[in-house]
Order: sequence, then structure tokens, then C-alpha cells
Amino acid sequence: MRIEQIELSWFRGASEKATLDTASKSVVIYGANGAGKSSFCDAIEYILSNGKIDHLSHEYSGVRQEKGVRNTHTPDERPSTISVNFDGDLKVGVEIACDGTPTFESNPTELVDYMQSWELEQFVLRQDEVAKFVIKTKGGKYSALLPLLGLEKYEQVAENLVLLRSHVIERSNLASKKAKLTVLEGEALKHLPDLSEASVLTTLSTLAKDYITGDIPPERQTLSDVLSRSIEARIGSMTPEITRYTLLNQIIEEDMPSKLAGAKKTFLNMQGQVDTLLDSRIDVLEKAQDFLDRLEISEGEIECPACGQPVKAENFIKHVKDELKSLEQVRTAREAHKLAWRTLVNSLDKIRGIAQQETLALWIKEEAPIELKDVITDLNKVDFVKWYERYPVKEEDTLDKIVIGIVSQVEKLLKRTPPSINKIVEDRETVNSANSVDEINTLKQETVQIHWIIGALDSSETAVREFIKTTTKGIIDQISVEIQSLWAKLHPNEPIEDVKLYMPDEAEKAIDISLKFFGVEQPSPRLTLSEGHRNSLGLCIFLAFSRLGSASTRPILLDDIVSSWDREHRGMLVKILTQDFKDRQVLLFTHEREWFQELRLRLPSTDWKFFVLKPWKGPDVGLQWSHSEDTFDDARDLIEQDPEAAGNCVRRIMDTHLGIIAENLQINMPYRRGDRNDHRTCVDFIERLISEGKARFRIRTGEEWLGYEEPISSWLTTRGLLIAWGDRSSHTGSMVRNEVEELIEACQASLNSFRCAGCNSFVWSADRTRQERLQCNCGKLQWRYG
Amino acid sequence: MNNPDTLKDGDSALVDILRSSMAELDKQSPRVYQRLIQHARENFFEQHQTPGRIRSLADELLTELKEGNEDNENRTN
Repeated sequence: MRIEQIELSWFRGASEKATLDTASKSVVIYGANGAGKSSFCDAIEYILSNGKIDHLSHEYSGVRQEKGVRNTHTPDERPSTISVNFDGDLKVGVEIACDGTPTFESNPTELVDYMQSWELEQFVLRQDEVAKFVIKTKGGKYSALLPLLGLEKYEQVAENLVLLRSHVIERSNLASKKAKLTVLEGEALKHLPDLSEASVLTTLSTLAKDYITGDIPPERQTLSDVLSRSIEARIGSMTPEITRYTLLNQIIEEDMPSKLAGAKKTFLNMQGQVDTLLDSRIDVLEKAQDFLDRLEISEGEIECPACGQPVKAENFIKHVKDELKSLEQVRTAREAHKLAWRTLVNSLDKIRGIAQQETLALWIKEEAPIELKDVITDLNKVDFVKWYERYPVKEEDTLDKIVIGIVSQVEKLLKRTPPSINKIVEDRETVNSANSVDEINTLKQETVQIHWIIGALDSSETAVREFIKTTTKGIIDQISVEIQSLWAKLHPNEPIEDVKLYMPDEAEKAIDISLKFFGVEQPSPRLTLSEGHRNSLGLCIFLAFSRLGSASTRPILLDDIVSSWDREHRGMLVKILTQDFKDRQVLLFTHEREWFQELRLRLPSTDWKFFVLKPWKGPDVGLQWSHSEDTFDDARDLIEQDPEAAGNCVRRIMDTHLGIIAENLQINMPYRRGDRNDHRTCVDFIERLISEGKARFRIRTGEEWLGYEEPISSWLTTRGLLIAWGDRSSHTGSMVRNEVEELIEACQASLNSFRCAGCNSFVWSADRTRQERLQCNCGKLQWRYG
Repeated sequence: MNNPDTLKDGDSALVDILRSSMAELDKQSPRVYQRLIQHARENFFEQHQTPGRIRSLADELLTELKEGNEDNENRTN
């Protein structure tokens, strides 16, 4: 897939229309700082990121970034537009309205969705992002690589499974069920030796002998029902005094003091949990605030779904987990308190019912001690509906008075209870406990079954994370081979080797880069690598990932990525581009004139096109292409205001150009002592070209090879002007407009003379394996040796 | 080199992972198991979900659990 054309209109630096026509070739675009090169990268990012550009994500750019993406001088109501044509008649376009609303269209229709599924990080590398990955934390690297590895969705699966687990716990009232089960089991075991069906049946069968005449039912449930009825009938047939003692015993059996203590304890525990939660949440938020204050723009981040702010993925996930854990603890405490409190209220309600039974009510009214009468009166005044809903903090004294008053009064009275009554009361409690066995069993079964789901979700999360880990390791091992190969080409014979991605054992979601630095193993490149080397490593990683899977057929955009590199390493990059990325479309943007000149002279014109953007004049004028591939427009731009600076600029352009040409033609330069070898000027080079060119430069005319004299005379003219005006502009000042224009024309003509008029390629472009000569692609021009 | 798009199309890979890690659940509660696998097939887990949608799935699972018990009881009776 290759880009044929990018057309911008009123987008970023572009005005009416700016068209980059690649003809499906790789391109190098030169432009001074601010010339508008990055507008093309921004356009691609805008389409891929569905109407967003990362470096414009700030408070000043507007809701839809309309203040940043649209040219500030766009005429009223005119939309900004981007259009990208690919080979095979594929086309994607976007129209951006005044308010920043983008409208995408593409041919075919699904192309825009397909493009938006691409990972920007495999497509565009910008100057300020080259080392971004290298300097990320290991968690940041993991988050950044996950989408490139195609594993982001698996991370989402793991997160959803964790959330689902938490919701299953909440929606099933698991905490409340567990608390209730604990209470019921505790109560039942006070009266039964164990809760197995056989044991309960044995206990009930023993009791049945005292209460049932005739056949004893063999089933536990039926036996329990029959026993309950028999015991109640026995109590009903007793004298009023015995009935009264039975009822009073029933009040004591409710064990209100321990239920009151339980309700109070769980209330305090719940309060404590809330306090701890508040402290913990404030602590987490303060740390988050501190972190946001220190956040670097280049760090690996995700957008917080709560506030929309970018946060480090690993910290955000930890934060959410901490919050969930705290909330789960509070929820458990709340459920425990609710259960304890409602158990007490139910007991109080039951006691009120007992006290209202005819036998007891009459006795309380006429004979009971005044103290008991008072507390029963208080109990009758309680609003149980209100109390059931919430622990009555403001009525705590009333609660204490009722519970303590009733229990102490009833205990005094029961000291005189006949022993036979104690037994019947105990027997009734035993049967009641047996009746609760079904509820206990149901609760047990429910909690076990809920744990089936929880267990399945737990093991699924573990399996998904293991899959992510194993797959990640497999891919990064392969990527590391690619990175090592690219690194070795960029840094041959350097003592930094074995560069590879790895997953640290000690961390769950982490990836880092290790290397050997002068033979010593290093766990991170941040320890030893210089800025230039870090950038170089960042580029290797980007290039390796850009070759991953289906991304390997797409173009790549490199925006000003070699700023911190020396000339030698830039030269190595040319090798990578021409060898490893020969079949790939590369859009390379640079503001460095010398680098552009070198690329123009070294990259084959069969695969590459070269463009020069003129210095940007203003929003009305927009992006302007130079008509030539050289960089003399930079000098022309200076003529009006500063002719000497323009002349100096021409001189520098020629220094670089002729140095590279001399290298390509293998011109032998006389040896100079020390540093002076590196300080040759264009005049030194052109003089050698003139002397060697007379013998070596040949042009074919028909079947004949003739000495190519026309360039020699052009070079002689240029040499003269460089000495007369170029040196003067560099050293003494005083140069006028006409002189600079004449100098530029002469220099351009001299440089163009190395290019064949027939095939438009340079004389060194074709097969270089022949020892005896260089030639252009069509073979019309030759530079012969010997 | 692995093709990440192969991984991206790995719906069946995910379903396979869930199937094998939920094998026990399949025996314990086939209805809950099927509901989870159905959601996995529909890419539910691969996309960001709101708390409401997660809660709703939790309710569905608990209902399936309950109805599974009723099925068992009916069969026993």
C-alpha cells in the first residue's frame, strides 16, 4: 500500500491547497523549521486517530481541536480538508467544519475504518517521540507495546473478568449470605452436636420419646414439624404459672445481651472501615494529584475514564484495585452490621409479641414488678419499622435500657423456675435449631455455587494473563532479533550489543530493554546510553515494529528523526533505508539541509523523490513548494534582507554538496595535516573535480564516447564566482543582490551537470560494482577510472 | 514473525482459553458456563464495558445459576 498523494487545504500550515505528489515513491521533504512539513504528518495522524492530533490535546485547542487543526486565517465558512490517495484508486478524505467537526469519507467506504484500526505507533515517528519509548517506565513500555502486539483486547478481557467477579459478589449478596450462615450455624450448634442429617435425626428421635406417642416419623423434616407442634401443645396445656415461666424463658433464650453487643461491635467496625476508607481514598487521590503534577507529556498513559486526564496505566489500574478492595471491605462490614442489628430487632419484636400473649400480659399488668412493667411499656413504644432500617444512634440509651432492663428483671424471676420447665424450653430450642438446618443448607449451597462462578472467573483471568505473557514473550523475542539486526547496521563495531526487549520476572505487566555495554549486562538503556544512542535505539524499535504483521506493507512517516545523530550514523540509516526498507514507502521529513543534500545524492531516484518546502511566509500564503530539488531557495529567501547571509548560505550548500559528490566519485583529495582534512571547502573540491573531470567525465554521442566538456566550463565559472563572491560573503561581507543571484544560478548549473538529461539520474546512480567506472541509469554519462 | 492480525482475529483463541479455564464450571453449572461462552463469542469481554452492562451480566449469571438449580430439582422430582 503506497500513498500517491496528500492534499491539504486550510489544514494546519496549509492555505488554499498544498499537494504532496509522491507518485507512489518514497520521498524526502526538506523544509526549514516552521516550513510546514509536519502538517503532512498531522494530517495522517488526524485521519488515523479519528479527528485528533496528540500534540494538540490541550486546553487551548478547543473541544474538537478546531483552534489547532484549522489554519487561523481560513476564510469564513470554508472547511479545512485533507485528502489522501493510495495506489489502487483508494482514497480517504476528511472535511473539517468551522467548529472542528470532521466528516470522513473514503473509497471504498470501509477504508477509513480500516485505517483507523492501524496503530499510529507503527506508522508515524516524530522527532520528539523517537526516544519516548526507550525512556518510558517498564509498565509504560508494556502499555505502549500491548496494542502493537495485538494484545490490548486481551488486557481488556482480563479487566472485564475482574469487574464481573466483583459484581457477582455484590449482586449475589455473598457477604450477607456468609454472615447469616455464620450466625445460624453458631446458634444451631449450641443445641445440636453437629448439623449432619443423621445426627439431627438422632437428636430429634431421642426427644420424640418424651413428646410423641405412637410411631415416630422417620424423616427429619416431618419429625421436626410434629415435635414442634407437640411441644407447643404441651406448653399450652400447662398451668398459667408454668406457661408464664416458659414464656419468660423464651425471652431469655433470645440472648439479647450478646445480640446487642454484636450490633454495637459491628456498628463500630463499620464506622472504622468508613474512616479508614476515607483516609485511604484521600491518600490515593493526593498521590494521584502529585503524580499528575509531575506527569511528563511523553510518558505512556491512558485517559482516565472518570476525569479524562491522562494517567499512567499501571498506576491507574492499581488505584482502581485499591479503591475496589477498600469498598469491598466496607461493604462486608456494612452487611455484617446490618445482619447483627436486624437479628436484635427481630428478637425485640418477638419479645414484644411474647409479652402481649394473654397469660403474660395479664400477669405483667397486675402482678409483675414495676421495673419490668416500665421496660415493657418502653418496648411497646419502639417504632420497629424505623429501627429495622437503621441502628438508632440517637436512641442508644433507650435501646440499652430496654435490653438490660428486660433481661435483668426476667433473670431474677427465672431463678425460681421449676426444673421441668427449663427442660421443655431447652427441648423447644433444640427443635427450632433443627428447623433452621434447611435454611443453613440452602445458604451453604448458594455460597458454594456463587463460588463456582467466582472460581471460573478467577481462573479465566489467570489464563488470559498467562496467554498475554506467553504471546508477548514470543513476539518480543522475535522483535529483538530484528532490533539487533537494525542496531548492528546503525552502530557497526560499537561495544553496545545484544539489545533486546524482555519481560522482567519480578513485575506482572512490564517490558524493558536490556543490552550489553562494553560487555557488561545492563537492565535498562537509560543507565548508559547517550541521547543520540537512545534516539537511535528508539528508531530501531519503531522500524522493527513497523515490520510486524500487516503493518509491514504500509508506508512509514519519519519526521525529523535524526537531529541528534552525527553524520556517520545518518549515513548508516541510508543503508537501512536502501537495503532493509527498499520495498517500503518511506516519507522522510527533515529540516537539516546537509542531511537532505546527502539523501538526494545517495538515494536512488528510481525509488525516491525529493521535495523542498520554501520557508513559511504566513497563514495566507501557506505551504509553498520550491521548483527545484536543491536547497538554494533558503539562500534566495535571504537575498532581499541580507545578501551577505544569502551568499554565505550558498557557500555552505556548495561545501556540503561538493563534499558528497567528491565522495561518490571517489575523488582523491590531497592529504592535509591533522584537522585540516575535515575542513575542506567547496573550492578545494571543485578544483579537484575540474582537474579529474577533464579525463574522466564522458558522454555518449551515438556510438562514440566523448569528453564531457560543458560541465567543466560551468565548474570553472562557478569556481571563479565562489572565490570572488562566496569567500567575500563568508569573510568580508559586502555582496549585492545581483551577485548572489548569479552565484546561485552558476552553482545550480554546476550541480545539475552531474545529472543525466536523458534519465535524470546522477552519474554515480547505476550499478557500482564495476571497478573501472560509474555511470547514470541509462548509461549515457560515465565517470571512468584508469 | 507472528502476525498480530492473526492474534487480533483470535476470537476463537479467547473462547478456547475461557473454555478450558471454565471446564469445572461447565460440569457444575452448564447454563452459567454457556452464558459466559456466548458473551465471549459476541466479543463482550474484549470491549470496554460500562459498570451497568457488567452488573447486568452478573445478574444474568446468577439467574442462570438459580434456574439451573430449579432444572435439577425438577429432574430429581
